[in-house]
Amino acid sequence: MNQKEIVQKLNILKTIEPSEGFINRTRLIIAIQSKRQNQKTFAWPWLIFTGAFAAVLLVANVFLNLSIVQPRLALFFNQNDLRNEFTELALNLRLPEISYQQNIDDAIVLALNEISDNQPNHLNTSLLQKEGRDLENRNNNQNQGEEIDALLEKVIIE
Amino acid sequence: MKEEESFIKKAQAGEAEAFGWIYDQYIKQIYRFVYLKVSDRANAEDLTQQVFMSAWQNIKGYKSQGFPLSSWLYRIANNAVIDHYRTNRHHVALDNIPEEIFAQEPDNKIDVAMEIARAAEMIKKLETDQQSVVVMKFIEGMDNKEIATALEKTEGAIRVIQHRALKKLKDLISENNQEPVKR
Repeated sequence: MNQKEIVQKLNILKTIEPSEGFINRTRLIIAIQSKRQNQKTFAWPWLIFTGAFAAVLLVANVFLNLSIVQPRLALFFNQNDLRNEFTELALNLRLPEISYQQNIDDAIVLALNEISDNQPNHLNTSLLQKEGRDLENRNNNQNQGEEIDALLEKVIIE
Repeated sequence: MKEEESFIKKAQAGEAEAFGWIYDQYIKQIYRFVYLKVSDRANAEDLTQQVFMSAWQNIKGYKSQGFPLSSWLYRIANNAVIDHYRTNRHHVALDNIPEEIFAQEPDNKIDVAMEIARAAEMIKKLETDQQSVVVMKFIEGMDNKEIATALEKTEGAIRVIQHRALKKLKDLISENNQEPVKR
């Protein structure tokens, strides 16, 4: 069998064709896709232009705001003002601390005085009354002890 | 060729109608090429559609090398088939040739169908490159230079592939003459 005969046998494959439905369907899909592509290419320049315009506006706005805010910021960062403010702040903080320390000292002195004072005529009336009651109880207890001793002797001897 | 070039330029400018003309020119042969390689109508339709969609999306980048646009389309089709087999490793048997594949209504439908089945089976038994060369050379009538461009190979390589394919086809035809084809 030679090449010519082989080619003749293969030539029958030329009869293979896609269906008309498939041809039309694919053509339609490509047409729809091309429309979408056109819409995209139409939409892109507008999108880019809008984006660029928005960016320019943003930059302009930032510069404008900075030019207004800058003097105020400069005032905020004035070194002398800051130093004065800091010194005042330190003083304000120290004053309550000193008064607190003073109160503590007074309280300690008072307490020490009271502890070291063993005389009965100190100023606290409630303490005086308590001491008086204690003395009475002590005397009563001594009397009771004597009575108990007498009773015990009586019981043991009898 | 000049007519085709003008349509290509229009298509590159975004004219869908111009691409429609290109589509009408090549749809049948690209479908045939793909069908004989995948042996399945549904896959052949999907892949052919992919080929033309890809061609439409990328036509702006097409540069003529002195050949008809078909060599470029065949290259896209060949790559699509390679990708198809890379992702779908199963091969669908070419058992039944659907009736709608016939270009004309033949009188002896059964005989023609059997002949097509035999020829398609033989093509299927060739190696991938041999299939491409046989279809392009002997069915579509393309010259070696054009085939080489489409398959991104040298003309010498195409000649070697063609020689081996013909030898194998000769053996297959001899085998086929000894045993009838199963339908």
